[in-house]
Amino acid sequence: MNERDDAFSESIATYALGALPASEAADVAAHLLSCAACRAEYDDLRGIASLVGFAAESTPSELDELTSARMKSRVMTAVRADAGARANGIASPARVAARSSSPWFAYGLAAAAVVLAVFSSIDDAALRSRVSDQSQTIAALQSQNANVSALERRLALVVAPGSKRFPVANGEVIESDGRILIALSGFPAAPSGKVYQAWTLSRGAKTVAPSVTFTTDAAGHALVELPESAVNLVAVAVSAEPPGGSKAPTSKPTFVRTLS
Amino acid sequence: MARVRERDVAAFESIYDAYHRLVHGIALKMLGDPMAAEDLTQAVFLKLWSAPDAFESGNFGAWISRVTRNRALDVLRSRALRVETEIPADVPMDGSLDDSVFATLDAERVRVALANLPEEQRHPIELGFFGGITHEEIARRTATPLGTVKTRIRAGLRKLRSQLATSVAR
Repeated sequence: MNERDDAFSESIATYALGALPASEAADVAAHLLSCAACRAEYDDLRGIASLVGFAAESTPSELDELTSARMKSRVMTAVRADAGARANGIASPARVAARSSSPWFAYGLAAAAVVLAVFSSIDDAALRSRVSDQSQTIAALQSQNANVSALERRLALVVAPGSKRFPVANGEVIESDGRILIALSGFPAAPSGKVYQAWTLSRGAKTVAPSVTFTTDAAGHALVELPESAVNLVAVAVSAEPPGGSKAPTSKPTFVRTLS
Repeated sequence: MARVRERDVAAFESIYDAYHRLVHGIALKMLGDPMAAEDLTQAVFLKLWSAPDAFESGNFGAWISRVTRNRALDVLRSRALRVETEIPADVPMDGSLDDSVFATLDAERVRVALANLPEEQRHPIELGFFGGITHEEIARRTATPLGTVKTRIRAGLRKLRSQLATSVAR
């Protein structure tokens, strides 16, 4: 290993772990093509770095049986539909779905594959119509179920023992189980053509980071869970922004609440 | 996996049963959002069904862990809220993790081996794998010089390999 190799050797383990920025990763990848010693080191560490993921395997408390069964049902329904379509020589959008880089888009198309597979095996027009109606009903119920589950989860966080409440005008910011929620009632509607956007400030940060956008209902109600972990957050703010949100606030915050 | 390549639904279901908690756990830890973790888990397994040839040989659990991590990084990149922090580059997937010594390793052994690492080595490794952040961000968060972070990651991974090899040999 020469001097140049030494310069790279310290980076190889970090590259194998997947924690190098793109520019540095490209340099290391190029070096590995021409240096057998460094490539051997990389091959040795890459597998072990991948095993680190094993430590995160979900426990029954993190993935309960009900959720686990629901997930499996969705995956296996799509897979069986795709297998049936393949057996019948029919192209299935499930294959397109799995190629998509967006998991949400993928799931939507996989669900579409299920409907398509059902259609492909039914010739009778009346039956197709009934299946269509039932599929739409099932899809609507699944959507409602997902919405109810999400709401139940947010409500559970709000009322969880040990949750911390930080009052704001017409509402509260709530820290519960490592999550942040914004609960509003009688909150003024966002200006025409605008939505509300939440912002978070991490400890030591000089600027706020953009979080989710949301709207209130006619009575000014909203219960929003931020995707960020509460760890290291020191403040939450809300401002009116264009639909889709902004990367930095473009209006005076409706409120800024420190989490202390 | 050979049977999955032949579109054997029962074989795929067995693999799903064996690995869905691993995929979900990584997704949940990286994304911090149960709904997003469910979606990602489903996407990973649908991808596996759609393109089973992507896995060639070696430790399947390690391979699907890496696939899950790379897809979680895609999700983090798509979240506008992460604009202030650079997401690290993916580790290239070449379909093979030829390490037969660890072919039968289970999660508990890895958890124990990780727990036995010195905190100064374990913490940057976990941040690097699950945090979706670069070594520069790890250095900032742990108030440690960049070079020291790299050194500790390398020492930690080597020690982890040694501990797991000993564990498997028992």
